[in-house]
Amino acid sequence: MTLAAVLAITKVVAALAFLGVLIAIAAAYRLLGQRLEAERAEAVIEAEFARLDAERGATAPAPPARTASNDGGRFA
Amino acid sequence: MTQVFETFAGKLETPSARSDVLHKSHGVLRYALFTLIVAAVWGLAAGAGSPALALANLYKVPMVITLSTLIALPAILTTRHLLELRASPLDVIGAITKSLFRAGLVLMSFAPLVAVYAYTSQWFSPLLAQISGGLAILCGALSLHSHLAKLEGSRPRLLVLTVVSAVVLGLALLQLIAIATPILSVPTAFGAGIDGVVSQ
Repeated sequence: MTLAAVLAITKVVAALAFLGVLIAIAAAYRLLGQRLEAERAEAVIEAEFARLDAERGATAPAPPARTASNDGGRFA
Repeated sequence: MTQVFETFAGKLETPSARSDVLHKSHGVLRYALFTLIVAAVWGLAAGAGSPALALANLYKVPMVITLSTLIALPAILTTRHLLELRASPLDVIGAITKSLFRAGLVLMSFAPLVAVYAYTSQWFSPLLAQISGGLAILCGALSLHSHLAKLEGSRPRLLVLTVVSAVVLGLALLQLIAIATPILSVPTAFGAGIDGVVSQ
């Protein structure tokens, strides 16, 4: 095999390797993007739930204050 | 996917650590893709004198940068391991990618000038392309130094990592340029790889 043939084969292998790496980078970038998007959506939903919980806690009637009439144990 | 990240970043204990690694990996890939795009633009400009060369350079220049990084990466990561640096491999890869992106930006900034000269001057265009390439390598090396210096670890060890990274990347780059030749319209010393450079 001549040197030129070896060089030609090396060039083809390098081009194929580059193509493979390019596809891998693009696929990983897309997958990571989807994953980050899902995490972001999850965080938004969790924040919304936390906000709703806080709202519900604020609007719920406060427990009655302890007085002599309802705290029998203390004033008995 | 999780296993791949854990290989690069260690066992991810908390969701926040996991999210951090996801963000870092996404950033690294984004920088890598941008670097390839700007390198392709420079390649197009450097070969603008001949349409076939310009089209071939669209994949040749990004190929040289990608494969030289991949070839150099095992040596760089082994050096990080031997120096017992606390910075994760992903941090080191991130620093390399960012410095390559900055080098790519230098190439991109010279691309219009190189393209104009490719049409108007036979002798100065390849020279200008080589000067812009040299400047990009210099900026990349300086940027690599500044990015690696920010990582966790003692200063002399980080300096050793920087030197090893720059030398290995440079050696890989030189031989891949020889494989991808012709990139410019005239033969250069870099076209023959390390043999050509040493003989000059």
